[in-house]
Amino acid sequence: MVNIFRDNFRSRAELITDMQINRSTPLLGFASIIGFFAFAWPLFISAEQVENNGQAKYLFLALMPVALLILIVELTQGDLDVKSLAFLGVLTATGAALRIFGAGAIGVEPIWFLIILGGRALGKRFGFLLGLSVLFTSALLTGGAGPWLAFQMMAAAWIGWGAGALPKIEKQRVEIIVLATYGFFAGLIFGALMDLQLWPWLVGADTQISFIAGAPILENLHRYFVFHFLTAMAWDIPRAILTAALIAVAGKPILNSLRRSMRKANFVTAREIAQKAVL
Amino acid sequence: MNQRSLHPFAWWSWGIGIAITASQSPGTPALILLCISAAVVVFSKKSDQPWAKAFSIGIRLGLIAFVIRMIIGVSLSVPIPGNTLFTLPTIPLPDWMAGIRIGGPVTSERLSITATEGLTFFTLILAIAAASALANPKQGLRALPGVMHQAGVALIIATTLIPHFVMSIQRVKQARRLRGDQQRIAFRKIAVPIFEDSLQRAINLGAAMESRGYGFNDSATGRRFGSQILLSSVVAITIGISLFLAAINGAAIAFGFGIALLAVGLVVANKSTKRTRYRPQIWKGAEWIVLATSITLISLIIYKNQSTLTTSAIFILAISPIFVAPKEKQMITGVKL
Amino acid sequence: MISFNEVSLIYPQAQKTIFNDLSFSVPEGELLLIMGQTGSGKSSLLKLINGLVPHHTGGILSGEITVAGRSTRMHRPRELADLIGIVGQNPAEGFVTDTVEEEIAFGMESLGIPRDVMRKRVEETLDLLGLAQLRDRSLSTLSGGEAQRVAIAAVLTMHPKVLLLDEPTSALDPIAAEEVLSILARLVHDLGLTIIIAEHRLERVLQFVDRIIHVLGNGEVRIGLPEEIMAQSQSAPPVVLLGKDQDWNPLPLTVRDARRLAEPLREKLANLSPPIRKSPVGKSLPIILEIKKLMVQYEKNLALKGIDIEVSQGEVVAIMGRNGAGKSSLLGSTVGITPIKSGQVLLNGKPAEELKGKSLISLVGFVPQEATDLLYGESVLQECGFADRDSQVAQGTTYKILNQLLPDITESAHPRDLSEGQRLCLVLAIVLAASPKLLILDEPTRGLDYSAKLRLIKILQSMAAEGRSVILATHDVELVAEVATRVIFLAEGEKIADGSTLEILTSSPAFAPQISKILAPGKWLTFSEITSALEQS
Repeated sequence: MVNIFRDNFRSRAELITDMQINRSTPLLGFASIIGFFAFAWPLFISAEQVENNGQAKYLFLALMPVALLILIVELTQGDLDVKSLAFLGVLTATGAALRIFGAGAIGVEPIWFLIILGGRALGKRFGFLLGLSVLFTSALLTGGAGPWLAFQMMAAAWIGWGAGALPKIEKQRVEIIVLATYGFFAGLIFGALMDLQLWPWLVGADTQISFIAGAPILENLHRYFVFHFLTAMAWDIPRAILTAALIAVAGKPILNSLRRSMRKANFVTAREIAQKAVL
Repeated sequence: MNQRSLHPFAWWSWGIGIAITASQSPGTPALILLCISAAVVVFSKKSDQPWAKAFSIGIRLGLIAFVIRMIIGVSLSVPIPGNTLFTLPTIPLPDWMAGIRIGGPVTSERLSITATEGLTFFTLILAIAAASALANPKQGLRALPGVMHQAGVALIIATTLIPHFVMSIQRVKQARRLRGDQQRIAFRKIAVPIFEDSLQRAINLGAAMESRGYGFNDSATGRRFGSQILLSSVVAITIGISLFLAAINGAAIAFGFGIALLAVGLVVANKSTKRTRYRPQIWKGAEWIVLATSITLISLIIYKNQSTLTTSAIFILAISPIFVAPKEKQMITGVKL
Repeated sequence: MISFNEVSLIYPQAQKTIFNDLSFSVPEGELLLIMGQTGSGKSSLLKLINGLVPHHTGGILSGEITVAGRSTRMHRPRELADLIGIVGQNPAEGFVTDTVEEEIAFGMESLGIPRDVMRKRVEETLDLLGLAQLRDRSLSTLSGGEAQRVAIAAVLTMHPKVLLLDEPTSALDPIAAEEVLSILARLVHDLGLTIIIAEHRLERVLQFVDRIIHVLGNGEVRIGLPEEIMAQSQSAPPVVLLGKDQDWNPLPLTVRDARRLAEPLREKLANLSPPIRKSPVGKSLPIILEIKKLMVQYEKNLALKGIDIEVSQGEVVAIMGRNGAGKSSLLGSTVGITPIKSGQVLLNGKPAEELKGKSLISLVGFVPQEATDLLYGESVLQECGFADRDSQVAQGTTYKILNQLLPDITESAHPRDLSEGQRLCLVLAIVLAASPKLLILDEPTRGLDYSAKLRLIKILQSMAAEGRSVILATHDVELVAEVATRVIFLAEGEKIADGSTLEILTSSPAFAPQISKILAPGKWLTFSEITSALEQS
């Protein structure tokens, strides 16, 4: 009879990997707070800083890459095991290729589809990194890198993380519906965040839709939504619908193939063992 | 390999130098001169690689941003006193839009302020686009310090595989014809084979990297220590942000502290990798000069007084890479991306 | 060097035991061949040696495997990288960087080898494997043989003591395969490396190996000298089959050995004539495919320079030639996926690029090199259902065809989990569902073992007997010898030979099948021809 060596054989390193996610949580949290303020500072800035808000724009423009740098260093170092790294690279390439080529007859941008399903199948840390790398690679290789790149990366990373963080759903039909809904809102939120970031830049200080330093958040939010409505909202809705539709149509087979390859590459057992050990 | 490219980080230092200069309100003539020098340097030094397109895309995006800025500035502005040029008809918007009305008098002061702000943003976009059009991203990834190595490897894998997957998409599209499938839009039929292909590749690649010793020397202790320092760094920066937003003194100290901790954390974490580098990118005279001009540019604008002299100095410094940098290496024929 | 001590292995999802109580050892400097059917565990055995099984793939293992004293239980594959180099089935999929030189240095960077040592080793290795001219080339532009050599170079720079190769020659044309194998032989003899190859193209490797491990697939293996293993094995190259049939002693493994022993047989066969291949040419059967002055151009390269070919009903045409000779472009143009620069491709009289959907697939069925591109279902059954719909045939037709080709298939299996041979059958079934008049296969035998190849040969023969035409592009001379009625040779986009199989194959030394090499000047191509001729006399 075959002896079972599995437990002591593998997964010293895998255990570390999973524990590292937990250890990284505070750092991820704080860095995300930095990221959040880099987007939303106009809503919170106090009236006393109003003369400085020319500087504030640049300060937060510079802080976002710093937050990303810290996150990347923390999340990729050392024990991001080789398999995850290979999956990350290959899925990023797939995403960028789909983006360049535009799958299908209409110019589809299936990157959200990819980031959401990747994060769902391979976990939140992976989703986070996938969001970062897909946006970064496609921007660098296809042009379109600008001051907003770091912001796009952070937003995409959150979306990937969120897909992984959604609760476990046993029934796959339900899971696909949830993911498609998530994809719809993720598309909208991404657009809203990008517009929030551009708000101080595109509007300047003294128009009727500029933010007012120190004003109540609701008042500023109202002004922001008018700005968003006037500029970009019309573009976000088709994207949101598209992402949801792609997930509804192709989500199940892709999710299954992702999970199947994880089994093949021995991700699943690793996580199961790790959970046992943590409990 | 007689041809040599400038180190990508040198290009980035140049681009960031221009961006910071633009952010310090150097005056309209200086902004225009910065844009011109960025364009001149890019067009004389760029390669035919795909990322070189970034600059023209940047110009387009910058123009769009500028136009939007102008439209909003003119049509939705809060009136400021001054020399009224013309008056637009006023259209009140519905109540739920915060009582905004479009139109009203347009003053020359309004126009010039809006144009300067728009131009600043335009220059900023152009500076980043210029750097990313010139700097070879693949070499940039390879030159990342050890602490970023893993992320770099993932991205190197991605950039080298993109052409493969573009071809794979083409093949899969052909395969649909072979099955007699005439459906016009068939995302699933394309996506599934592509994903299967790429996942299989990921498994094989992971196995290949593992058995070729990837991660052979990584130590866990230095990393754990480095990660504690990084955590303190983010906390410090977060505190800095709260202080700044609330306009309480001490924000600058917190930021400085955070950045210093970050630097220490990176150095410590960097020590935990014992990887060596085969033929690293060269950083020689030209790179030093480009870096030095960039630093001079930034210090000039920070301790400036707006004058014709500073403006021309800015122009000369910003355009200087054209004299020292080699032309970027062209694509080897037959290799896409 | 390598020792297995009571090793057993099962995979978590599978019920089957892959290996049961396996014990053997391999001394330093040996060249060992692992043979066995696909799915029998050849690759698993290789991966056990460097610990990829079970560290990377999962699996339950008992017993102890040590390489130069290091146990795979205590060391992950990466910690054995300085000792064992492994080159996977498709080496290009393991490349991490984008130029040859960087790829070769990648492993050393991970091991933390000092820069000056790296420089020296890269230069040495480039010279050793004849890669110096390729050093700046982008990896994506390499041919199969070059990629294989780069992959070997990339592990050699770490100065391993053991080299493992998974099917190093199966994707290569005969000349490139020869190059790779001679390099391996040199590494064993000059550097004393221990090399283990898993391969099913036995005719190519038998002459080089010291011992064979035959993986039987039921958990057992057989280890012995090549003659011993070959004497007992069902699957063997033609030269061995002939030797066994003729009771030659010692059993010949190479054409040279066999020729020495074949003198009496040649005399006996001199009076007999090989069975005439039913070649329908000249019988004025309807022409299915007509290619006129076809030119194909990619950017600046002319891939095809004016080709004329006619294929009539019932013919089995083999297209041969080196990689890059234009085979795939030619095949692609027949279904309208390769854009034509000038000339015409007529299927049943209609231009191929204008046909679509049902009218295309009922004329021509195409199995591309990457047959999996056609598959997007989640199970065999679902895939068959899609095919029924596309071909507009009754539900279940495709599955029925598949069942004839492959009686023991599990209908719930995922198409991508099938073995290479099973997957080919599935794609064939999909393509045949529309009952095309012409079947085209691009490199169908990559990764097929002997039994799968035999099955393919039977399928193709029965198709021809039904009056369908077949065109296949392949490097596999033995396959061509078995099935083709006509052979076309392409070189640099031009047709340089077109004639009956016998005439073409026996006239070219590099592409002659083993049997014809042994029995030259007799005009024999396959083992089965000889046995049937001998029986009849």
